[in-house]
Amino acid sequence: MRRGLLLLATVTLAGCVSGDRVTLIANPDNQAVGSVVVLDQETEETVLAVLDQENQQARLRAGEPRLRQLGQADPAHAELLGALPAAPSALSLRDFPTGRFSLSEEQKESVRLHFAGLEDRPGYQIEVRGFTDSTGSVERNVEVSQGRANGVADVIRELGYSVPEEDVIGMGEFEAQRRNGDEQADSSFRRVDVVIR
Amino acid sequence: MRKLSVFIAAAACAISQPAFADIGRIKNVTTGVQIIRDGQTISARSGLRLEQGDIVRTGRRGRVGITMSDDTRMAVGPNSEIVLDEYEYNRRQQRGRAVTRVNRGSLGVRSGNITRTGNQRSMRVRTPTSTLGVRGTTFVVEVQG
Repeated sequence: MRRGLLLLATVTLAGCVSGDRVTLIANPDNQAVGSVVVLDQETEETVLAVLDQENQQARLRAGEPRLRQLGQADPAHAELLGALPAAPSALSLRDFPTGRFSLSEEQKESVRLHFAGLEDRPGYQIEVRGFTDSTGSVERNVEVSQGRANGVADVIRELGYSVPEEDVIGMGEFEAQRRNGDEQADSSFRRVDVVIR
Repeated sequence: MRKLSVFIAAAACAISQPAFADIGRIKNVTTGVQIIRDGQTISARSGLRLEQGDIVRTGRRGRVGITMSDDTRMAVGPNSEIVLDEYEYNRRQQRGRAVTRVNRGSLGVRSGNITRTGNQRSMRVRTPTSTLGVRGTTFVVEVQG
């Protein structure tokens, strides 16, 4: 009898403290929480469980996962996520004169301000991304956006910052197409983003 | 016709983009963190470029923060082993796929552009017993190992 109770206690305790798990955490800035699905390990197609609530947790094991709702956030998770690198920070530059890729003094100053505190970001990387709206051909828009990105990257280099060629990207119209559809004029996509990652 | 030209251009863009060996970079890192690449051990440091297949291993007090090319951010906790099994990302089209394996320890993830397409199979995390699909979210995976 005593041995049976001991075995039961051991199994119960093991169930509480062991086992792999995944926990969904609240996104910052009130963004939608998103979701994680547990897939059948063999096919990686069949969905066994869906986590779509903040602090929802799945115990992972062979077969069906077990879902539960945590009453509050686990402090250990907060500590772990405290080690996430800083989120990439983008400065959008707009209003480029047609055919020219220079920056106004005001824009240069905003770039300098954007880079203030750069040294506080370990392993930082500066990326310059040019965009266009979805009017015109894909090929031409890649060309135009690359030209804008190159122009801004040159100015940033003149200001004394290093921007490798591989991090100067003409993004073309792909993002505009995704958001607006094809052949839609939208000045918000005639821009260059200077991203600190 | 328009669709065909977009397809051709997209393919051309993908081809003409430089082939980046690095898929992400180490940002914040403590001591006791190693990268195993092709059997060689590299001490992790800020700015180190990561490659597909790299194993990230942390010691008893080790922690490391990683930013991937698609802006996915990862935090690896102590006593952990994470493998960057597969990673493809087209920065221009902001599409790709990633498979990360957690052999032991803890991994916190704030997903980036790869998961914005709405396909929950484009970012997967494997553990010894399960496979997870991710869509635009923050989550923690813990594996006893």
